[in-house]
Amino acid sequence: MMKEIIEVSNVYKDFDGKRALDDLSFSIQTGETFGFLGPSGSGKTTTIKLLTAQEGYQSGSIQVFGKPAEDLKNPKQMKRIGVLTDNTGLYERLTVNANLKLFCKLYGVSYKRIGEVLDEVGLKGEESKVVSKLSKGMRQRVTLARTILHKPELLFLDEPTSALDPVSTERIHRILRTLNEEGTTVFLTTHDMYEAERICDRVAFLNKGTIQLQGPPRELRVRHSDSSITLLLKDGREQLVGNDHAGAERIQEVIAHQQLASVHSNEPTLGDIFARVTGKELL
Amino acid sequence: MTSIRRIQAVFIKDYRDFLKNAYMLSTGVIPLFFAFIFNQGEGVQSEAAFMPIVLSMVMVGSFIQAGVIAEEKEKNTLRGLLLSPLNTAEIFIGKSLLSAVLSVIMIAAVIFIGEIPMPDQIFLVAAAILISLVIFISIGTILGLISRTVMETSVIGIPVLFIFGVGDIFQTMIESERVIQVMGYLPDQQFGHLLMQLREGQSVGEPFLVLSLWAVVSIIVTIFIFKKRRFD
Ligand SMILES: Nc1ncnc2c1ncn2[C@@H]1O[C@H](COP(=O)(O)OP(=O)(O)OP(=O)(O)O)[C@@H](O)[C@H]1O
Ligand SMILES: [Mg+2]
Repeated sequence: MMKEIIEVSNVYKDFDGKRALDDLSFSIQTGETFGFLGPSGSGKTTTIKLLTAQEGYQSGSIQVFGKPAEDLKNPKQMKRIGVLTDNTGLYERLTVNANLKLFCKLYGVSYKRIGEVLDEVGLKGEESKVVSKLSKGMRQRVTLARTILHKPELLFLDEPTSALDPVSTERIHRILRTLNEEGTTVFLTTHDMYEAERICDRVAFLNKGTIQLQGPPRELRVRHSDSSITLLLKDGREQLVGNDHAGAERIQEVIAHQQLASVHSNEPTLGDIFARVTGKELL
Repeated sequence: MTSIRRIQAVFIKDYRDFLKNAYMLSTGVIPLFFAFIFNQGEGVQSEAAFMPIVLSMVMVGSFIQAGVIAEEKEKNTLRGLLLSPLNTAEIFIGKSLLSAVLSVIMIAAVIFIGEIPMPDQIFLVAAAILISLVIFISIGTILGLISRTVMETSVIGIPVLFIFGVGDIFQTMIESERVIQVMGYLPDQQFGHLLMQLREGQSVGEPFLVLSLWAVVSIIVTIFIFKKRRFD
């Protein structure tokens, strides 16, 4: 069952005459993890704001759940999404439990869910801690717990792991993969190409408010690969060979002389592809 | 559909937070000191006798309200509320309830401590206090919405305190009759007139009307600013 959960066509968005989104079009299928990859100022946060009806736009159309994004202002529709922005805050003087209880009440969810979500984000037993005493990574997981409290069908995450340490990042990635396996559609923005590569089914490169390239990470890398192969020899030297008859002969030769240490395909990283397509670095 | 459960949840959260917030707690008790200082027994028969009540409404109704709203913006928590199933009315009512309840408690305390001679018409007095609270809490909400931080509210709030809270002190310094006349229509003045006229058995239609107009206008302005600034 693949159907569009988000459909964006030809959207233009200006802030005081300055263009932020420029003829933006893309769609996301139900069940996907979709990554929006772009440098600072490319329009990632703006896109999330438009998709979640926090901002209007000049022209084009945005459909979420097959209805105009505006409909998300209706609390019933709002319950179907979860939004974690790059600066979603918690009530710092209150405990983890008090923070989550508030949102249980707001969403009409039983307090039993608190234990479940804290378990999911690996914070079981921390519910009575005051938020201001938590580490950055723990806070982000509490925020994520709060965001998934009501089991949203569609999750928007704006740079969910930026400024987190590798261990916390890895934890968040695991949580997101689990959620996705359980059926949650995930839209996430990042300027971390490894993140995009590791957890996204499909990525789009955003540059100056417009999408320059999109597809599954693996496919993009194959498509942009120059097919060359690097041979690492036992004496430490590297040799570049083509993916052709001559290359095959060379490999055979090296193996025959017992010189071969390892073979590497030269697929570009998403960062390389981004730089090639946009002429810009991701960070 | 407005939900009591959701409003209550916001109120309980605000109440818990308030108890741990030294800045808010200390702002909240200021009117008590004034009530002490102003207590002149049976001596004061002018409208100035009601000043501690107005001060409670300004300090608690406006200042605490402004702080509570500004903090939601400063700490990026307002967005979470806006993206939850809360509708606009629930956010307004929920976010005003704490300052409303605290104001009522404070006004009662101030009347008691300051031994303020109140009129006997309890229902009319209660109505006047409620309408005035709507005005002062709306002003507080506006202050909170236009400030970026809690600290900013106390800076922007000072002129408001002077104009709406202790305007009578200035009146002696102002030369122009016109200005004094216009200031007479400010909510604090009208509130004073109203209680005074009640006490003296005069009709209170006009001050009630003026206060109601203030209430309606301040609610409209609050909603307008809210729609413009909520996602900033
Ligand atoms: N409220 C606003 N008013 C004016 N300009 C804005 C506003 N919000 C965003 N912009 C502009 O729109 C463009 C896109 O901003 P946006 O925040 O969407 O970028 P981003 O991709 O999320 O960047 P980052 O990685 O730094 O978060 C930028 O040029 C920014 O200056
Ligand atoms: Mg951003």
